[in-house]
Amino acid sequence: MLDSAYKLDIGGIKLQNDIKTLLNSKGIHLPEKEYGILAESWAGIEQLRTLVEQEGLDDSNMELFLIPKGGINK
Amino acid sequence: MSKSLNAMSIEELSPLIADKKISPVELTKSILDQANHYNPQINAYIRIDEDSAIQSASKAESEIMEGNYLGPLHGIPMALKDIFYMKGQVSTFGSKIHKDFVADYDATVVSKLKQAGIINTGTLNMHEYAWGGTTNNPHYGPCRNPWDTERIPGGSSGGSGAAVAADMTIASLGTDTAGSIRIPSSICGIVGLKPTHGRVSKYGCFPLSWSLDHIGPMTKTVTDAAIILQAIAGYDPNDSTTVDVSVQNYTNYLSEDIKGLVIGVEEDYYFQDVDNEVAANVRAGIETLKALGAEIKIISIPNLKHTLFAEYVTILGESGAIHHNNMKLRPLDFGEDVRLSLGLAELPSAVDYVMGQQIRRKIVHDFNEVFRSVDVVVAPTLPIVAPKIGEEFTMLNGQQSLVINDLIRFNSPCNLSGLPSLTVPCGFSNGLPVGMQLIGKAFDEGTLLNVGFAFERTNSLRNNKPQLNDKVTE
Repeated sequence: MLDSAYKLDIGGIKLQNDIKTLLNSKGIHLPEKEYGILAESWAGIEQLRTLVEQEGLDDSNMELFLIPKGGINK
Repeated sequence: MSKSLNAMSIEELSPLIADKKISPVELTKSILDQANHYNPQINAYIRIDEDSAIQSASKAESEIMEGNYLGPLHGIPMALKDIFYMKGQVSTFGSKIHKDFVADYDATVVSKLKQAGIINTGTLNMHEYAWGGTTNNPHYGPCRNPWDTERIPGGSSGGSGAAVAADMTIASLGTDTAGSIRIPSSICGIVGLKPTHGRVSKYGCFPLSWSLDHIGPMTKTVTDAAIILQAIAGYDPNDSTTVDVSVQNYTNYLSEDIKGLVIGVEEDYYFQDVDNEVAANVRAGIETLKALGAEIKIISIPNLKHTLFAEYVTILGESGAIHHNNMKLRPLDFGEDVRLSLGLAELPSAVDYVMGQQIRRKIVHDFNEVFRSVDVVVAPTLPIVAPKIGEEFTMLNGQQSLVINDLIRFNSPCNLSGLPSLTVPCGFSNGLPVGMQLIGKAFDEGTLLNVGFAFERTNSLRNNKPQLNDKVTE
């Protein structure tokens, strides 16, 4: 679903290898070319996470530790 | 009668069926003819259940003739997204892995619709396991948009959107985890309602991401959406995510009177990076609501900016857990795009997932603050019109833009928050439909239906319908 919007640099090649190692360690083996696509997509999610981290969540707000479920807004 | 039977809505058909002026058998045959004729072009159906549909229609017709009319869905032909368990029938979930799966019970929504008297005409195409927004299905073929068959119908409930728009079913159900009811409804020019999380049981619906998944109607009119929601809403002890809150009488809200309602408009997220013509259509829709008597108020929902991170880490974590074993045992039986998503699903940490849930809390808090002073929030359903089949990127005001992010970024806030959201057609951009999204308070689908109904009466699509032809697209 996530597409390859983020192109790999040298660090990306390392990321690609790390992803392959991680997935293989879980018993998941994909066609070789797909590890590169995963690395590009994962880089996109890491960019999104960076924006969240810059914002900083209110870690003392205990409500934030509740996992949402049905009826969350009731 | 100017319209053919298959082109009519539930609100038009049900009084005629109740009065025995329309035969459910003739109506079902009309739908089956349309489905058989146009499916080679649109590919909305995975399976057309002709014989069982005629049998069910004959039974419904007998019941009605004997004076046992059940209500507005009695005798109405409906095909459903192929994601629901139907006792004794194959449900594929759009996949190769489950191509022969036969459930031994009906999903709660299927059971409720059967009790209401619908005629099931078959199963509808979808993105594999609902994990995507295009319905470009590698196992059953791409579903095509009736307005332009070179373009996607949206997804994951693309078969439902296309079939309703092309009059191949009277109405349908979709599921929505990041917009999968509202995306195809907007793109195909129909009405789609994602109810509050917990309003409709998901028991017997194959999950994509259980804390984000919803089931809701996809219909030709707002009234039809109200009728279907009435039939499927309610607490279900088989689904622990349903909430025991009384169900509104939805048809009571179908009024053109919206005087005094306060409409919230958020500019920083919902109107950023929107196709100019799409934005113009939605802003015109807001002006229409104002002309109908609503008050417009500018609002702020600061944490919407973290929507995509929260949506991705949640859907990845939950869907990854569901499909983990098959990713180990038979990864090549997934289509490539879904396999990639499920590979990606193995990467976020537990910390990422929890951060996603924290963002959800913050978004809920923001919306709750807003709903202290507004009744409904209005936004574009999508920032773009239907992309072409196979496009990863589309042009948005002259800039290249990632299709998948564009499909989900305005829809995901209501999956993360669980709030109800209704999309109604509000015009055209380059001949393609544009949807306007109405977001409401939890369990207040009634007010959304009220606003949607009032807006619908202004006839924003000017009675335009897709122009179908008999050419089969290669």
